[in-house]
Amino acid sequence: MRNVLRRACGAFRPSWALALAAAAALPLGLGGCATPLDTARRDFYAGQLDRAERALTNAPPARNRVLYLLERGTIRQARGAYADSARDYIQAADELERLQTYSVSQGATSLVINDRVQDYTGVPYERTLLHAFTAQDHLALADWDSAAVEARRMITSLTPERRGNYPEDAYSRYMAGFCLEMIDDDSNAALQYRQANALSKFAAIDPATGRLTPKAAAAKVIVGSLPPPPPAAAGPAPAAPAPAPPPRPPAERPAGRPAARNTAELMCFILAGRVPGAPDENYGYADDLPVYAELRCRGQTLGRSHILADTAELASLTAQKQALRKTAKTATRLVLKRVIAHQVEQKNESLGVLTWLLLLFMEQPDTRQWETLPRWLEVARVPCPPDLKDFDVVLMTPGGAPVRTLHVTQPIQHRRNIFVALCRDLAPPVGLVPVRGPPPAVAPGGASPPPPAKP
Amino acid sequence: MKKNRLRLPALAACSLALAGGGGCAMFRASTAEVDVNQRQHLTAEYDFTDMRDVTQGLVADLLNSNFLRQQPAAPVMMIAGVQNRTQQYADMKNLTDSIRTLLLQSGRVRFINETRRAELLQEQGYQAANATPETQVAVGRQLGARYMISGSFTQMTDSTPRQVRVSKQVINFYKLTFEITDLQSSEMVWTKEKEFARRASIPLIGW
Repeated sequence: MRNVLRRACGAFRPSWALALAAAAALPLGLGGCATPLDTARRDFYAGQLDRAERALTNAPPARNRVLYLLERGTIRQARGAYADSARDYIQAADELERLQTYSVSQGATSLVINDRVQDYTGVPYERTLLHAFTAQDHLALADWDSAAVEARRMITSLTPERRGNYPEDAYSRYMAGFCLEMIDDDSNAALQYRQANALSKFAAIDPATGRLTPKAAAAKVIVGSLPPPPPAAAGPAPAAPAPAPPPRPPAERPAGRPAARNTAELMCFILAGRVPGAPDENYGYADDLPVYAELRCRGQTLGRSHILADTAELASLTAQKQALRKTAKTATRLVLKRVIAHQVEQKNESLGVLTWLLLLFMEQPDTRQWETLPRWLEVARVPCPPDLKDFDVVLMTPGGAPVRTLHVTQPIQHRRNIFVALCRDLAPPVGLVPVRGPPPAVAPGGASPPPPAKP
Repeated sequence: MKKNRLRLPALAACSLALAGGGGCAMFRASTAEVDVNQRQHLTAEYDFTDMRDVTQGLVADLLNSNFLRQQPAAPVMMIAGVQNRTQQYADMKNLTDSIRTLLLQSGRVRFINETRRAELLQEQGYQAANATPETQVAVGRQLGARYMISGSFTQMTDSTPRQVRVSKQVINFYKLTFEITDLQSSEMVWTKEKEFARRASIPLIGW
């Protein structure tokens, strides 16, 4: 039998041209078809949320299971299907726990083919944001205890044991703090707010109240809060200060909570833009991203949002951390592939060349990532009317020019006097004029659907 | 030489047959009854065995407590709920339901159905409008609870630090605090803690 095979191989000596042609045809065949993930992402950024979700209804390939769940969870959250979205995210988190065990078989295969054959486990900032996004779902459903469960998971994922030396973000810390605040775990909330403040570049966060101010303005507030110097001119002793007004009755607030919190507050989590993806995939998404938002209600400006995380920056820092390890692995893989091809070449020269070309074409970078993540993760915590039913989110350019307005009617949940809302901005596809003027109808999830695509 | 040549395929065939025979049961879908009293933990996390142990222990402690012994009659209670302060999704309603069932079965405590108030009022309203006078329930005769049951369920986790290892050790420590408050005086009249911990080893390398 062995002799028969040897004779057959020996008889089959394809020319170099044939080997090259066969190898050249491979990438055409491999790269020609869009995966359900690509379709779903494109539909998502085109505002076709139902279609995007339908693209991911079938069971995913095992190695991309986590990625499917992450993308579908985000699509469902944008659709307003918060319970389904939370289920997807929780499944993804469970799957990630399981994948903590390193698969030797997949590791070995990845040394011969490429890193895409391994299960997708995400990068540390994605694993943390997974919990932040699950918490958003719970907050949208007014399920405060479950949101606090996610807060604790977020805190665990940010420990050095889990995160290593990868970057952490202020948004997740703030989200953890807020979820804990909502279940009256004030001391732990303050701890998270303090850490969020240390991580935040643009906003100063008061650990006691969780309120945000721009970093520069915060410095002025601290200076302004110092007691005024005594008057230089001699004169009669200043009168005793007027007696302090009687404390407000502790209606609707637990003991120990600062009285300042007794006014109604709106906490709005604003998600805008898209995480930078592979260079050839922008899914038709516009680049002119707004970077902050103003919240308006009944003709009055309530306040503005503050950027707490930029996923582009997180992705870039993560890539820098991974660069050395990835380069070393790629170099090892190339050497292994050359050795394999050389071994085949010694038996059959043409087959060896074909093998080498095949192995080279399989050398593809692992660019998988959670691509429906927004770029800007922002928080607005502003005073609001106690009977808040709806409000507008006006997205602004860095220069302060309005870009579009989203009218938010749901989800708006509240506990005691804190209202919680969630808003995802999906910018209109490239080539379409951004919506201005009267606010369009809002889709569940807070984001206005982009106008229908022009033919 | 020829003998050796024959021996190799025979060995391979035997191995395949063994693997196939043993593998059938492994790869076949199957179901089996599990004794609910069987103590088994598949992970280090809170599970149904813990729930049963905790509820039975708490109820036994409460039934033997001075607080309940000193009650002239079975007190009326309501359950405000147990707050889940752990890192896992645990159904606290399930836990309080078990406690309520065990306490009711003891006959020494009475409960109002605080979770079905809306339905109760709706049914009373319906009866007032549609039921015959002799079968109508009287309005405004509901019992008021004297005591409120509440609690919290907390978790602390410890795991081995980052180091060269083939498995990770995780220890989960759980504590359920259970308290009864007098609704009239807001005095906490009884409280109890139940603790349990579990260690698990998670392989970091697998096939």
